[in-house]
Amino acid sequence: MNENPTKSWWMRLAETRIRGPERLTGAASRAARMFAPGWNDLVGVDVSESSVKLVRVRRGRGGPTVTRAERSLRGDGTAGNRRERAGATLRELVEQSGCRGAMAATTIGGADILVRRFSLPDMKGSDLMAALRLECRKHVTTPIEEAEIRYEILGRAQTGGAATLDLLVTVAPRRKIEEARELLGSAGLKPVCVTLRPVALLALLDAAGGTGSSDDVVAYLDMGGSESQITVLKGREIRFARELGVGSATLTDALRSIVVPGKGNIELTYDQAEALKRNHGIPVGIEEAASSGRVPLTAVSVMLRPVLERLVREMWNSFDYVNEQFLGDSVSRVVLLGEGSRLKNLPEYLAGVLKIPVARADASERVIPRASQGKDPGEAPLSELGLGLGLLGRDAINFLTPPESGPAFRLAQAVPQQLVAAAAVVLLLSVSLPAEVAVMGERQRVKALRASMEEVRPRAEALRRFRAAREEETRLQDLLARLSGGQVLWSYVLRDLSQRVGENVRLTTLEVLEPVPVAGAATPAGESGREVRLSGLLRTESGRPEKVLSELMNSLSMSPIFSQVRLEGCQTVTAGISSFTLTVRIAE
Amino acid sequence: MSSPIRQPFLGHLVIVVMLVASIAAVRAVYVAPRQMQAKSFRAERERLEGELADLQRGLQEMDAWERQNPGKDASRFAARQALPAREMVAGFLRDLAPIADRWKVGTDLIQPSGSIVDVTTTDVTGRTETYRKAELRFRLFASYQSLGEYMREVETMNQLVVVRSVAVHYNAPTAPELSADVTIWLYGTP
Repeated sequence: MNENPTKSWWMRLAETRIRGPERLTGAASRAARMFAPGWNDLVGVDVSESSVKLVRVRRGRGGPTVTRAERSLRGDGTAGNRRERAGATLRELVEQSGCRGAMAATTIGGADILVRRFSLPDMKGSDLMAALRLECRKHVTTPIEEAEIRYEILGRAQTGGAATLDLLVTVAPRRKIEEARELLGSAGLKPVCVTLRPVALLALLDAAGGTGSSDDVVAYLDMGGSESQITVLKGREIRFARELGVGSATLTDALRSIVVPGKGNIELTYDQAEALKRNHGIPVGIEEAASSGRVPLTAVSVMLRPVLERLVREMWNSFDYVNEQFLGDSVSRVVLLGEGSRLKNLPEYLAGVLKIPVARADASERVIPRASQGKDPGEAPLSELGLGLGLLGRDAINFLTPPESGPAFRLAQAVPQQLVAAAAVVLLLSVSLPAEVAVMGERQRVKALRASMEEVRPRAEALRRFRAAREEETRLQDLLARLSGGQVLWSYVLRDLSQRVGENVRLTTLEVLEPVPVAGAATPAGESGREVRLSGLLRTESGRPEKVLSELMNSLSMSPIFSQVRLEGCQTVTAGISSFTLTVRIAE
Repeated sequence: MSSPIRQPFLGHLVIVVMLVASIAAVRAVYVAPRQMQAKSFRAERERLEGELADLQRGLQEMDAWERQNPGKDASRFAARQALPAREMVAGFLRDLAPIADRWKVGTDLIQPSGSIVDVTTTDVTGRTETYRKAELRFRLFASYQSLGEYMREVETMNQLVVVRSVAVHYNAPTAPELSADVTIWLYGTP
């Protein structure tokens, strides 16, 4: 068997990479990036109870590059409520990281946010929003008039013989959207997207290639500081999302007052409790026999248990809901995300209780390797929510875009306004320039003509006089012709005659015969009736007189002046000379 | 509460609206006057082109006339004119003398024939005009060629002159000079 089969020529041709001109390739690449589904430069803003994190993702030819900034809100001593503190901190971070004016995305969350899958009878797009308003009214606590609805069509199905529409519907109070937008805007960012955590998670997983198979139902537990988010996905389909009131800080708080049997309460500062949690996590097995300073780890385990049980209970409730909603599609595994999920032994603990596989995933590491994040390996990991937001596509659920955004909206998003403005200016010029060019062209032509006129102007007066004289001459010639009855020009007669009389003929007499008026006989039109009698001698030495006379008469008859040639007589005078007399009519 | 949603294409829409408004304004304020100006220039150009073509055609006519009349200046060309009847015979004879000298034409006889008569005709415009006609008979001696050139000049004199008839006789003693009886009609204003 041949180990390296020879490839056919068409396969080699198909595999040959065709490289275009560099500039063309560069331009095509820039155009492709411009019209790509995602934003090319987006700042993901992750605002939680404990911190503000900012992740800027720039997509370039060599892949995405990330810059980040973050600051804790805990114990910064700033007065004011959490929102104001978060706003001020974000503003500082934006200034510090040079992101002013950059496009930004953030999330909103809370119990009043609805993420749910609906199945509605199939209907026209124009009727869908009204139907959703009616449906969502039952599921939200805020008035539907003060909420924004966004949806994503997951598919169409046949249920009980009727066509149904499967939708992922999200509802958020307009107030929260406005607050999020204001938060970004007041910090100097350009708000382009306000979405939900599951959407950002999905973007992150897409980028990390971690959405798994379409049949696998996976619960993602994103453990934040004061709260966690559980999102259940089947493939890329968001099936359930909920916030849990347990976070990393909840565990830390549980360790601030540890009851040690026989010793009483041991009070720890937040940082001491955090260090204890980080160092030992959830002590299990023989780990419980050890102690950390004066704190036995058994007591740590005992203190953490109520919080963990609460977490597990919340998770069970969520799984039960999913199982109930999607019969047979129960959660098959859990993936832990977020900084809080780094708690030692947490996956093992949850797997033991939930009885399904639990694993931790560092999705941000898969998207952007730590080495290229520009941070030291020991530093806190990148905010996965911020990174997910930075990687959002334009087609993601976005409360800042209208619910029914068509191709015009997409086109407007893809084409920068600067480009539109430039095109408008070009169009404006193209409207005005032809008129200016036409005027300039005509002005030049008129100028050239005026110059030509100036050149001939000195002769214009002479020409005018010449023309006037010619006109007068023509008039008088016509007048003379009328006065004289159409006279022949005698100079012309004499010249013509000299040309028609050959060398063998000599004229001796030319006389004009005035017509004799005959009663009743009219002169033909165009003729005056005058005749000319021509007499002369013919030299006949070289031929007969008939021949010479015939030639003369023929020649005269072809004259435009004479019309009728009549022979009156011819007589021999000497042996070589004959006399003749002819009469011709003058054409006057 | 007003909707926080901003249509991202609102900016584009504003640009398009501004573009349309700008186009309308530019057309009204800039393009329309330019078009009027261009139209005016076009009319002026057509007028100048017509004038120039006419002038060039006239100058070609003058050049052609000068080629047909060697030694003559077209700019000094004058139409013939009818002299007053009382001066026409004297004026004609005065102008005839140099022509006869030039072509060496001898004059044997000058004789008026009949009396001066009034003739009335209409010109091309339909205007009726009356002239006085005088008939003069000449007996001349000249060669055939000189006689022809003499006749040509008489016929193109700047008076109203018509050579009515020419009778030529061979005269052996004076040959090659011929004897010619020429009848000329002169027209003058009353």
